[in-house]
Amino acid sequence: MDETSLIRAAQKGDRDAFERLIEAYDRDVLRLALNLLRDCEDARDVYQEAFVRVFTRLHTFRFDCSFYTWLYRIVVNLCLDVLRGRKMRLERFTGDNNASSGQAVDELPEQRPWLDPERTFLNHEVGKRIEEILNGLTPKERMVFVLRHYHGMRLKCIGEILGFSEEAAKNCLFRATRKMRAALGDFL
Amino acid sequence: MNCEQVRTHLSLFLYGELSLDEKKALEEHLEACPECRQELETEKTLGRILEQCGAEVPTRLVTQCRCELREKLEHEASRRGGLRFIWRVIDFRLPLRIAQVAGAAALVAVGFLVARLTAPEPSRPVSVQVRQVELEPSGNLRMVIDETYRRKVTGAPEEEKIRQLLLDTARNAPDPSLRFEAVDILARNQGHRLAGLFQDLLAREEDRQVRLRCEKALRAMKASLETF
Repeated sequence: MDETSLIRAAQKGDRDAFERLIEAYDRDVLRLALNLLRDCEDARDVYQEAFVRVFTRLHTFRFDCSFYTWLYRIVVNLCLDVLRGRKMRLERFTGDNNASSGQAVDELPEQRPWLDPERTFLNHEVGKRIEEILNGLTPKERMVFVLRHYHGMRLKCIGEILGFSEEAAKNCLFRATRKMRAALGDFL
Repeated sequence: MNCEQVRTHLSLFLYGELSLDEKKALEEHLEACPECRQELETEKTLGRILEQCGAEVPTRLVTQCRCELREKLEHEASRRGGLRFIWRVIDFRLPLRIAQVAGAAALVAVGFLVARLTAPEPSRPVSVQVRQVELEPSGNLRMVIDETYRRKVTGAPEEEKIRQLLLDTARNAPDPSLRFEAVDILARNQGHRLAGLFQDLLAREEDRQVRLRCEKALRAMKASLETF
C-alpha cells in the first residue's frame, strides 16, 4: 500500500494502517527530537505528543503538503515549545546554564559497540562545545541548522515546515554555521 | 566573486544550497585561489566534526517509545470514544449481502505470530485481506480472506510458548527493533542453547545492531566454554 492509501485508510480508522505510518516515520521523529533538544526525556515526550496529535488530527490532513512536512511541522513546533520553556526557566533561574532536567544525549548508553565503551575525550569535548553553541543559537537558527545538517533537508522544505521563506532559512543557516565555526575554531 | 564573497558562501556551497550561477562563480574562483581552497577544506573539517555529534537513536529507545505510545493511543481512543477515533479494522464498503456471504464463507488464515500459538479471541481482527473472490453457481460469493488477530501473551522467557514466540520474532519479525529485542532476551536467558540461531542470524540478518548482538552472544558463549 502506498503512503497516500495508508493515510486515507488511517483517516478512516484503520489501526493497522496508522501503525504502519508510525513505523515509517517514528525513528526519524525521535532522531529529530534528540538532535533538536539534546535531551532524551524531552525527546521521548515530544515523540509521544507528536504521534498523539497525529492520531487526533489526522482527519484534518488534506494532502496540501506532504505527510512528512505535516508531521515534521508538528514535531518542530513541539520542540520549539520545549526550547522556549527551557529559555524561560533559564531566565527565571539566572546562572543555571543547563535548564534541561532529563537525560542528556551524551549520557545515553552507547548503542554502537564499535564506539564502546566510551567516546573519546576529544569527541566528548567537541560534543559539549557543540551543545553550548546550539544553546546559544536562536530557536529558529537551531531548527534550520539541525534540519539541514543532521537531517539533510533542503532549505525550501525547511522553510515550508517552519513557515518562512527559503531565503530566510538560508540566512538562519548561514548565521548558525558562522557561530559554529567561530566557537569550534580551535578544533579546526 | 571576490574572496570575501566566496568565504561567506562556502558553507552553503557544501550544503548544495547555492543557485547554479552562484555555484559556477564560486567554483571558478576556487580554481584560481589557493587561500579560498584552504578555507573550503576548513569548512569540510567543520562539517565532519559536526557530523560526529549527531544523535543516534538506540533501537531499545525506539522499542520503548513504541510501547508507551501504543498504551497512550489506546487510552486516547477510549477517552475520546467518538466513532472517528474507534479504530475500525476494515472498511470494505461492500454491499451488505456480499459482506454477509463473506462472513459465512471465509476461510481464515491467522497471520499474526502470537495468534499462531494461542486460540484466537472472538474479538475483531486488527487487519483483514481478501485473497480470493469467486461467484458460486448459486449466485453467492465465496471469498477467501486472511485475518490477523492481536492478543497479549504473558509468561517467563523460558516457558515453551514464549520461547517459541521469541524465536519466531528473532527470525521473522519485519521490524528490526523487535528482532533485536527478541535476540537480546534470548541471549540473556538461554544464550548457551542457541548457538545455531545466532550463527544463522549472523549470516543472514540485515540489521547491523541485531548482527552485533548475535556476535556478542556468541563471544559470551565462547568465553564461558573456555572458562569451563
